[in-house]
Amino acid sequence: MRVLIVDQEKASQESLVNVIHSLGYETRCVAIGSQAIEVCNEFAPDIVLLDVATNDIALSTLVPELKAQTSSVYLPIILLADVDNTALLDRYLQQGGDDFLTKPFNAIIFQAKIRAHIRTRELSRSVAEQNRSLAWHSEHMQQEHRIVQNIFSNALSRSLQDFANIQTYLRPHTIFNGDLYLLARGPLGNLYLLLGDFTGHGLPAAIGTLPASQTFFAMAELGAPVGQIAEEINRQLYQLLPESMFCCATILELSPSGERISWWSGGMPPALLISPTNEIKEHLQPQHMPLGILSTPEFESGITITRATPKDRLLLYSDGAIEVGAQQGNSFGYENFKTLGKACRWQLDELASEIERRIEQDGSEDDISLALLHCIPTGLSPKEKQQERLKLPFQIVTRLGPEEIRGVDPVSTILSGLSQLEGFKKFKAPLYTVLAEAYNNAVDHGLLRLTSSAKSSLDGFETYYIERSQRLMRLQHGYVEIILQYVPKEGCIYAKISDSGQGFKATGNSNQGDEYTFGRGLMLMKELTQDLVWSDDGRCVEFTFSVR
Amino acid sequence: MSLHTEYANDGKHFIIHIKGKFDFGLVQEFRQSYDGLSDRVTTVIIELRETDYIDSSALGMLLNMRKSLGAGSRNIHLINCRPEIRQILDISRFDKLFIID
Repeated sequence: MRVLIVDQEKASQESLVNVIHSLGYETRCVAIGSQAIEVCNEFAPDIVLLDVATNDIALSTLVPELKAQTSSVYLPIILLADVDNTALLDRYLQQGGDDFLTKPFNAIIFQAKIRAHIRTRELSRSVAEQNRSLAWHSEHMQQEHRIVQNIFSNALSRSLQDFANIQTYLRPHTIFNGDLYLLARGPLGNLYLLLGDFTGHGLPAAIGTLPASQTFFAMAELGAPVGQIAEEINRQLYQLLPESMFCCATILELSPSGERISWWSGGMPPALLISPTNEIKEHLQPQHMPLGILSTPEFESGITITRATPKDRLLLYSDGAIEVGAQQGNSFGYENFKTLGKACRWQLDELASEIERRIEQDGSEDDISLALLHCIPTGLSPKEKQQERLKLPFQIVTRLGPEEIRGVDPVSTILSGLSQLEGFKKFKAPLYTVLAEAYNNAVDHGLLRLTSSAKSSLDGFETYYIERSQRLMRLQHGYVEIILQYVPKEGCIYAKISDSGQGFKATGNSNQGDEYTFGRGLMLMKELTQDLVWSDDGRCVEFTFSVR
Repeated sequence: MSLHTEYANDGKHFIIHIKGKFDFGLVQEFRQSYDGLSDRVTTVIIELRETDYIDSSALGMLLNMRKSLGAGSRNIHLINCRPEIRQILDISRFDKLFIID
């Protein structure tokens, strides 16, 4: 401990120094105020003894100046005075001193005062230290929050933005939202929506939104059914979350027409299907346990299908919306919520501002989310990846005998190979169809001598295929040959399928109305190919398939 | 290729998912899947989102199903067709007999 003594009298200085040394403290003596300020920085005193007779600088200036030298930590300044005049002492103290001693002083009292002020200074130092540490932690936490917020906003940025058919009101209780609202387009023009509510709120609740959202987006992109999406998110959350945490959620898929809602719901308040005349047509009651509670074998992925008529709306909401004011025992409640919705004609902005008003009045302790989906065509067209087509010409030739015909499906094998090539994927389905028709004709009618007319009755259809497999088992001789020639310059595949059978007469069935069960294959071939010709009494069929 | 079925939670919708190739390889399984369908079922849904290939035998199977369920008495929806599959259904004018969505 260091004690700075400011006193003009040598004798007084000496007696002070003696007492202070007996306490084991270090001292420094100066005679006037300006010297005191000079040494303050270098000596860094823990306590200052200041004779009020020091008058080169006014006491009212000197005291604050000395205090300013030691920043946030309390620096005790004890005034020394020759007087026994309390009025005068009071004036000195008002000029900034913390305590006083009258000369001549009593050593015991003096020591006690010094000790007491040192203790106060120690206390002040430790508070200052704690404040610094708190400030550091607070800054550190804010920085971490900024990073985490960034991660959350990146994770959710894949959500479809500015989609006109949906309106939302999302009001997290803290900067981290334990409610989860996700929107994504499916590959077929479908719309996927997830509204979830994790147990609690704030960062612990929000953590689960990371894996859940990424799974949702990935599966929506693949066009997975909602039951499967629910099952996968459940699997992840079951594995990740502690037992007391789970996620209530509704996951739905709106068909491109806007008329079919396929949904899975666990633990959420029932979504409401609302007619254009503002009546509640249907309550979409959750059928399941929330996500993250049941193991995969126990999990139920069953969905419900709800049909909407044009201009119906579907309102989804988290329980925060109906529990406004709950902590004051003044919970809004489900029935009131519906009454309010109706009064607002289920206009989301009106409903939201009513809820805001209630929050101002009663407070809210949970995240609140509302999403209003308009059941109209999504206007999202199926995604198509434009890919440049392979420039390398090639030819595939395969000849299949009875053994191969029994054992392999050449058409799907060839197609799964072809679809790997650049630019072929989008043709694989129609190319499959025409090749399968040509190949099956060659096998069924050429080698196995079946007639299509057998398929015309209800039982006949199945009998035909039973007969087919029996004849195929017995087949001893013959072959089918498939030749595919890809000509990139012309953007087409020439196909030739021939067989060693009895020949086949291609007859259409175009006059049989819509419900005939055979002969469609020929029609598909005619529609999907060009230059379709049979030769060699129907043993050979050739056509051109455009891949432009 | 595979087929699996489920009833929706309300028991009114029966869903048949067809994965991969929809052709005569499924002829028996497909017919059996809707045998003894519950009377509560008002709508049968053929879920085609995972169907890669379809040929004329599948079209025949669908028509047989329609006959067998009493044409027109229950709705049959063919849903989530990829554009290429949709093209094949359109050529065959299936939109007249089924609800394609």
